[in-house]
Amino acid sequence: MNNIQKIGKFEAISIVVMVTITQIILNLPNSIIINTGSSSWLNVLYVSIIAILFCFLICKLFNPFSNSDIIDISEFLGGKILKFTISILYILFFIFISSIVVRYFSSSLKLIYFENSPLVFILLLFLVPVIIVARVGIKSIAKVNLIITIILSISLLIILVFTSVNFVPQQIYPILGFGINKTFISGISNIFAFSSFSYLYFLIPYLKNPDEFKKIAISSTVISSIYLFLSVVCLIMVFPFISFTEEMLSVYLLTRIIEFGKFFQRVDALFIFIWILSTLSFLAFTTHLIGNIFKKITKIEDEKELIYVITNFIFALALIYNNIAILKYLQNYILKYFTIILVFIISLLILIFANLKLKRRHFNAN
Amino acid sequence: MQIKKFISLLIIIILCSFSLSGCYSAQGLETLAYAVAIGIDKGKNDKLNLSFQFAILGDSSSSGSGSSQSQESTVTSVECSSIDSGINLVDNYISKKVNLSHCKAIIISEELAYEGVSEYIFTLVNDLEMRPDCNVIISRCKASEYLENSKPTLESVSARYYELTLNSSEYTGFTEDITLSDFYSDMLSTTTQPHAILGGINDGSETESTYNTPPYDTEGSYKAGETPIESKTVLENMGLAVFYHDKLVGELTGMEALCHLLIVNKFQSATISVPSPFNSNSTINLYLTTPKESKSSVEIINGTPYIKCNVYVTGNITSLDENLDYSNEENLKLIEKYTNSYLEHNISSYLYKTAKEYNSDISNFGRHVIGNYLTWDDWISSDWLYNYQNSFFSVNVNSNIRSGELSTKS
Repeated sequence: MNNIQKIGKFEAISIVVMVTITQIILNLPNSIIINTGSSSWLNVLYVSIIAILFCFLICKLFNPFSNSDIIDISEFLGGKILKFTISILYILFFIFISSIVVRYFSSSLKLIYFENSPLVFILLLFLVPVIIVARVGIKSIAKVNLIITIILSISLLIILVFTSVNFVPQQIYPILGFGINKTFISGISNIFAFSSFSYLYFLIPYLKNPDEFKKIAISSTVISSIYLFLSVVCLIMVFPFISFTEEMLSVYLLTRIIEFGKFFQRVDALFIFIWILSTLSFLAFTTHLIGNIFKKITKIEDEKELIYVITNFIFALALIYNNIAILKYLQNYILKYFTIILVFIISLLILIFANLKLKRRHFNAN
Repeated sequence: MQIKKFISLLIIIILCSFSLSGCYSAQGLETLAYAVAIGIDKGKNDKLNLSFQFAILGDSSSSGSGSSQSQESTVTSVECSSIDSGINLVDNYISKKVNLSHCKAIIISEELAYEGVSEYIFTLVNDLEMRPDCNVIISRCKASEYLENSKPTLESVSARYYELTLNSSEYTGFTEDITLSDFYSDMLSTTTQPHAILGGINDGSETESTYNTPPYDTEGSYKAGETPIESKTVLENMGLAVFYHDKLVGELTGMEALCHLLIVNKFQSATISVPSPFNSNSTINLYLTTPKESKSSVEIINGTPYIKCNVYVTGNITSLDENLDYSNEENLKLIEKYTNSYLEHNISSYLYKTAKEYNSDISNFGRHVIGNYLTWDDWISSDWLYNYQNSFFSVNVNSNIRSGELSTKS
């Protein structure tokens, strides 16, 4: 891993934030609101606090393992078997999440603008650039991603500000929504919204200065929390029906009601264009990451040639999903619990046990 | 090296070739029929009678108006079982694809609205071409007749005609700019009920009105199609159509619509006539604006909602009367007192009408109550929308009357 390109602090933060915002655009707030109703803003506050505490915890647990990612730590803890298992699980996770993102967004684009175009073409419009970009290297991806994330963040803020004229603040009531249980007990499962932690686990070896990992992790988690909170609050306050209906792209609904005076209406196309860029950026980084994980377990010289295979996997998987209903099911149930189990339970346990093993080793050495 | 150059050249040629080719499945102006308004009626034989008002696209070079739409528009009606099947039939008949992306108004006939409109509203909201800012009008006549009588005299483009006509509420207060998005949200809301613009054909037949109303109440007492106007323009939007869930339950007059706007803080400006305190047969005209938002609160006393409304208005006296001094403080105080009492009476009668007669909380008072409940189940079991009929109101109007415009005394 020593010969890999390095990225700076802001580029790293932008990667994690971009992952969250891409999920927000692809209906993440709707998944939360459906579960918790009018208390989803409270639920997001609650899971955000848990996510920030979790972030502090993993920063502490990563601290003794300088310049190592979760795969290296798995190898330290359980040897090649654990390393291989965790690598495969993360490869599957990233391929799965990429296929859902690209298919969901392509289907939405087809519905909105390209009604008569075959889905395969739209999918290829995303995946062919990804093949080219992912080969260029992490440094270029991260630099471009930084620009896109800034534009994306501003665009999301514009949506939130310009829809604020439609806010009905009382729509955040009843304050406990579908009840205490759904808000605070079963509602804890909404921590899956912070699936961007999976990217944090792999960031350290890419960083120019690994000591800045804590700053990067905390900053990106706080920014992600703020965006998630604002988008959920905005949706609840604007649409009274949002707790009971399932939209394809709920944030897109917000863009449809934006008007800049009487002259600038129907600006949704502008936002869709920005979202296309963010989806491309998300896919490029994820594909590169999958290639790197694969390189670690196979010890191949150059992972660039793997990009074709990885994008083919994503492409094939994206085509398997028959319709949006299946995609929504996969997103709201399978991916949700896959994220919780892999990112928040298995990875945390690996980090805890690896720390214990390291401490015991130091103790024995002394 | 040469192979690389060759491949690069090949890629450039292939990419350039795309710009020279025609577009796959391209849809241009010639292949689309832009509907500027949709009318939904109860059909004779089938379930629905769907009407479209299409914009006829003219030569932009000859029109000189900057728009490619000519003055003409045409109305096509079809009997069908659903909106989508109707669109399909019209597509086939006109050999063009109906496009709803420039649709400015959905007109639903009263006859159909009394039976429920949720099916049509859901279908239209689900249509991506349909814009959320499209207006919802409940027509007192058949929707197809409403569209056929849409003959703009002061506007050349029919789409703009709908846009501008419906914006008149900003300076008259006689109706509200209700969009598809508003109607849909209110229909699914648990704190409020939907309402729509009331439209109709004014053929002049009701010009000789027999209303037994005092002179100051005349202008506001009309509903759509009743105003004594003689003009080539026969369409009129005045008042509001009140719904309970998705069913039409009643109508509000222009003045009631104005009161509604004052309560929901959507009032911008309007000119009203209030009884003159100096002459019982005379009126004083006021140009009303709101200096600050009106405040409402709801208390539940023994299960009965008690609703308090505080309304703030500023009125500029626009009329001038002989021997009257509008710069006199005492006179202004007296006019203020009369204005307060006049508006309080009208707002109260509007509120009691919505509560006792229609049982429809179109003012969204429910939003002041929902905060008292902790969970969704508690709120739903309180059944606010049903309980609204038991409401009692206390209205307090605080007006600030300013003397005339150019002169204060004649």
